[in-house]
Amino acid sequence: MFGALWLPNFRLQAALRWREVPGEAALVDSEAAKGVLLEVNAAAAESWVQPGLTPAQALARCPGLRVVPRAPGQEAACQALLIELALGFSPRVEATADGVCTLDLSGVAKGVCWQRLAEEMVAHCAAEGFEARVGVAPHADHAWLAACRAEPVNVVYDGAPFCAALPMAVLEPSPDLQEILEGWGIRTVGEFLKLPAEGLIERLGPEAAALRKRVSGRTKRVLRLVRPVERFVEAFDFDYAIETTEPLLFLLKRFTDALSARLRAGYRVASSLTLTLPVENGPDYARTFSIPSPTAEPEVWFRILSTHLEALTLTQQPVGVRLSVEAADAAGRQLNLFESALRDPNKFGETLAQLKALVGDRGVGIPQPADTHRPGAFRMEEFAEAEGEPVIGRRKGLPLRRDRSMRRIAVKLAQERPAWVDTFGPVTRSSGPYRLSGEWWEMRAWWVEEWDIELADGAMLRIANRREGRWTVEGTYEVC
Amino acid sequence: MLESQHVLENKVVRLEVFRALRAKLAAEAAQPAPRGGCVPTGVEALDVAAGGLRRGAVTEFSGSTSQGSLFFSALLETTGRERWHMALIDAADQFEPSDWDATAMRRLLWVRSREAKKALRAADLLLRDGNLPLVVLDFQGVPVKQLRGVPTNVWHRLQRVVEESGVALVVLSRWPMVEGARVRIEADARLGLEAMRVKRRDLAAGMALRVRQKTLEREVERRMA
Repeated sequence: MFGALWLPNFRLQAALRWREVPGEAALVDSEAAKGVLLEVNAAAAESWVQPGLTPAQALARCPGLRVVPRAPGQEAACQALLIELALGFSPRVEATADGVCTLDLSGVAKGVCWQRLAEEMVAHCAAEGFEARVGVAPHADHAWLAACRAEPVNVVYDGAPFCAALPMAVLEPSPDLQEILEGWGIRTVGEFLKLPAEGLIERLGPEAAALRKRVSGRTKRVLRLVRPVERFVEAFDFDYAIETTEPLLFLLKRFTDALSARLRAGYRVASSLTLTLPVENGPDYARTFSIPSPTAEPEVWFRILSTHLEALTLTQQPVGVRLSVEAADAAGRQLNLFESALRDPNKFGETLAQLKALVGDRGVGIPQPADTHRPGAFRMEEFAEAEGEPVIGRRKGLPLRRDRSMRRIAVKLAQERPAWVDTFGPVTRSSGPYRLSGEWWEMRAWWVEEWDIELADGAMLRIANRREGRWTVEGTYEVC
Repeated sequence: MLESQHVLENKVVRLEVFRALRAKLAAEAAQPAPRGGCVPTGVEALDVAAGGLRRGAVTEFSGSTSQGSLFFSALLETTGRERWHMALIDAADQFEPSDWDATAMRRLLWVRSREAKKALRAADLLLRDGNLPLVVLDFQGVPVKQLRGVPTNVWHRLQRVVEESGVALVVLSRWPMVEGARVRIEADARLGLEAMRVKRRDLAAGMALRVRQKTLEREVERRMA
């Protein structure tokens, strides 16, 4: 058996997710030149509001109508959620179209009540705020046709008589084909199937052949299966650009609760969060937060996000918010006997976020040498718990305290060695030169000659000649 | 008359109890803290005599910059050996990663700052967090003008924070500046260019330190070479 899980008025349902709209609602394509209604809900349809009307016409018929614009971000998130819901009932799921999933139910235990299973699917969708229809039939395409006639569930055990009674309009033929068939007096699928196949294809072309193949049920369609999702997404598009963080925090709280429940349902945890804030003009703001100790606790996620938002300043106001969660298995970690892990990695993650807000992203991390010999070069890595014993104790001499201000100095040489340094005084001893160069194969070639010097007052410095006569203080070993 | 005598006796007894309690606490505080309550420094003389750095206490290391760098080097080496993680709050942004072993730095969280106040705020965050057993706040390169702007009550506040979190906080400074530091380590020796050819580990082991520990009764001073 196959099941078809369908969300009627999918785009409208997606746009209304996270909004409290109890009564009549309609979807308008605000980006189209002629903004007409695309979809209306049942309450609006009862008030004679139909797709194709302009918002002004619709509001004249139904003054209480709530007209919402399309929300592509929410549509994508809802489609992902629909697939996720479908995967809860079968591992073999096809994302047939926007708002439609076809499930291969052949693996379901024998003796299952299809009616009850379909009702369970509808209930799961309702728990996520969706109005769903479910059709179950022996053929994948028949299941979809059954879902179209479902209220909200339709189980078809024999596809042929069911399809025969359907009007031709459910197959959505092209207007030309529809007109021809009506001219022939063909109004139902059963009448259409009775037409001789060869003559039909000869006269009406490949479209008629495809329609016939779809409803005949003689060939088994292979489903294009989707893989189980590893990223869980929630999104919301605002009607207007927002100026404060309160609406963002309000939505993020709801997102974290909902996403956490979805992850917990699959016994998964979050390894990272990605916050995306689309802005009106320009690239979206996106930031990924890795969770030090993967967890499904929504409070931990929310604290990470709120800490970041507290210090965030954007040049443009956001018009939406998206939160995606990277799922991971809650695998345990076996530490070495002598390894001491962080007591509370998630609390430490929050502290790191606060430190980044205080001193900037490049101001916190694990320092690592860069892939160059250029003096002062380094790279900053995200903090991660190290394992194993480091190789230590090989270094010689005093550690340098780098002066990153590139302070210029005047140096007098005697016998090609520094003898006197401006503002510091005479040099008593010196060691060098240590010549370094690199990246000569590129435009940014560099060359430097370093000296360690000791001054009369006991101070020790590292100075460098970067070009002819351009001396700088590289750092200090000892200051007086 | 009898009543007043009874009150007097009570006061005397209470005073004696307080004295005994104070003496007991002072004796306990004067003894080297147990190994579990201390963080080893890697400087053998200091670890043997004082047990290392006291957890839940502010330790101030004041002296020349070369000695401060060597003391930090010893701490980083110990962190690697003990397989902990530590934090360096670099208040003058002077740490030079290329001058250290990459694997040793894997256990170092470096917080860069050019403002003393931001560095203190970062220290406050890490101390309240309590995940890292050792936090080093390097003030040796901070200009005097900025140091003068640091209110003295900050150190008392940090002391209270570390008491709760059990973290060992080490402040590296050029001269004593931390009000109420429980342990003061002083090292004034200066090294010359010849030190550049000696292993850093040997330089750290040979540091001449003067340690003063604050107890309830008095300051205990030890000299170590």
